Amino acid sequence: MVKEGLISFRGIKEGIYIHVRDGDFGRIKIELIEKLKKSIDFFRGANILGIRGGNLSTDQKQELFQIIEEEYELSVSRQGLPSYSQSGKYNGEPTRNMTKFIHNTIRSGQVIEHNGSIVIIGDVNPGALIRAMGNIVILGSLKGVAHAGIGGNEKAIIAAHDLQPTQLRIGNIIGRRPDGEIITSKLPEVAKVDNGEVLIEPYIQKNNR
Amino acid sequence: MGLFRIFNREEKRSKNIAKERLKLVLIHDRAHMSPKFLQMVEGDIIRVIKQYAEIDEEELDIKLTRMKRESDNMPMSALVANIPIVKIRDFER
Amino acid sequence: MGIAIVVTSGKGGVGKTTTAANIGTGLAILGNRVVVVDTDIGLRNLDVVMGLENRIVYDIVDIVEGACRLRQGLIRDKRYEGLFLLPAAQTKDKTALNPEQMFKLINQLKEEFDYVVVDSPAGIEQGFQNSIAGADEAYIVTTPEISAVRDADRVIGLLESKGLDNPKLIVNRIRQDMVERGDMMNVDDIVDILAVDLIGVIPDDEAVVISTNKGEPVITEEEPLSAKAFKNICNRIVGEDVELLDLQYDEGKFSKLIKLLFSR
Repeated sequence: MVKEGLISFRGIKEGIYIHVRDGDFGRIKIELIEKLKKSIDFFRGANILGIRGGNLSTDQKQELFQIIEEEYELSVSRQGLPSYSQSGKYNGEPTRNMTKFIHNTIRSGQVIEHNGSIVIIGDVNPGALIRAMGNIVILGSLKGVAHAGIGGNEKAIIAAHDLQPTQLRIGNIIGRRPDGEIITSKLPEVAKVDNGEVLIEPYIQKNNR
Repeated sequence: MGLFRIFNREEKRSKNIAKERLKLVLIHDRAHMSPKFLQMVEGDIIRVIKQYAEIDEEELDIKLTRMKRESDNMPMSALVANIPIVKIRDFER
Repeated sequence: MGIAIVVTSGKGGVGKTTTAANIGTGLAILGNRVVVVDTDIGLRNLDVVMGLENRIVYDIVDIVEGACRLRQGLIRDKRYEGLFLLPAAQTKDKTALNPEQMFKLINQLKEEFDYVVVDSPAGIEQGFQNSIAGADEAYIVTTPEISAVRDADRVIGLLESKGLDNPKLIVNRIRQDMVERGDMMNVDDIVDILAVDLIGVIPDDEAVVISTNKGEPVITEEEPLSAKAFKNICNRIVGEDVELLDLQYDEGKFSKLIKLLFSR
């Protein structure tokens, strides 16, 4: 994957927001100025919704807004970011699209495709295929093939109450079930990409008392 | 009962029933492989043979079957025609 | 240039896929480069019989449509070097391919492999027509049941009409105990009726079910009678004269020897 800078401008249907990765605030500021300088014409007239990510304090955000509004004379919308793009640990592009909910068993030969995330309340049988640009969450068991993050989004996840897929794909990375006996955690599991590999970990409730 | 079974052993066994039923079914299947094709063949054969002989068209029977060629035992489809001849035509005109 | 063999039957459930998997694997064990091709679009199964279902990324339709290269679509077997699987597409239907495309594909495969074993779908419609396109030889799988033999006869007729003369017969699931009781047609009965050459007889064997459960063709094992029967077929394919298997049953009690010599 191409190494991204700290700052990226992302478009959603309401307008543009600034996505900030965790990093040194000084560098964030410099990069923001550079980017704005380079493509000021492009941003002129755009509806800038706000800033997301980067663990920034309100003051720091305010400072960045000031740069945008005063030095580059761009307007920052007071309505802020729409709620659906604000939250979520598993962030990334696909969250822009709506989630598709399916209340059914998906059988062999059936394909569920969606350019957002998919939630299946039911089982996915062997031979079935689930393809989502975003995340895939299955409340039953996943025994077929699931492909999340179509288009190359390796931040997408695949979660299932009973994760026994024939194959998992996240972005362009493929993980297949090992041959022979499989040890399962008997817990819901979440698959994500870690170091270029599909990694499966059990989902353990965080606030266990 | 025991005696009866010995006598009827061969005929009553289910495999023989199966074989006989199968043979009948296949004769039918093969003959109907392409009724149109058979009709065409039948028409042409009648036309040719009529030049030489008077035949009983009603009783004429043509069917497709599979058999092994005698010379080399190669299985092949065979057209079996049963053409009753009423009278050979006189060519000594 | 390799040989393309289509395994077909007309009737479903007679063991086409099992036979294709075992013949393909057996030919690879004998040192050949083999690809087994699943043409049952929408109902693929060869992958699970061979235990390769978790490796599928592309399928036969992707290759034919040019969505990937031939090499990318071939799945290497987990046990044998020279063995590959070309899986069917599960999410499309028979109309996704046509015989012209298949003819081209099979010929491409023949350039790279010694044997191309094509598993045909049940039926005699488009999927069947696709599966026989490009085939050099046809093996008909049947079981000793009226329905299976009748369908085999129909398929033999269709194959002959397509120029695939002299198809060879595999009689599957023979139960020697029933044959001896006279409650099952024996191999001679079936060969008589169909008038084709016999290339193998496979006994009805639990080991086939067990090996399929595990995703390992039975031919990979030593002991089972069915494994020996499949090995014999493979030996005959590569041109050896092998006597038909002595089908034993009833814990070591030998049955009447079937003295049918197969000659190629």
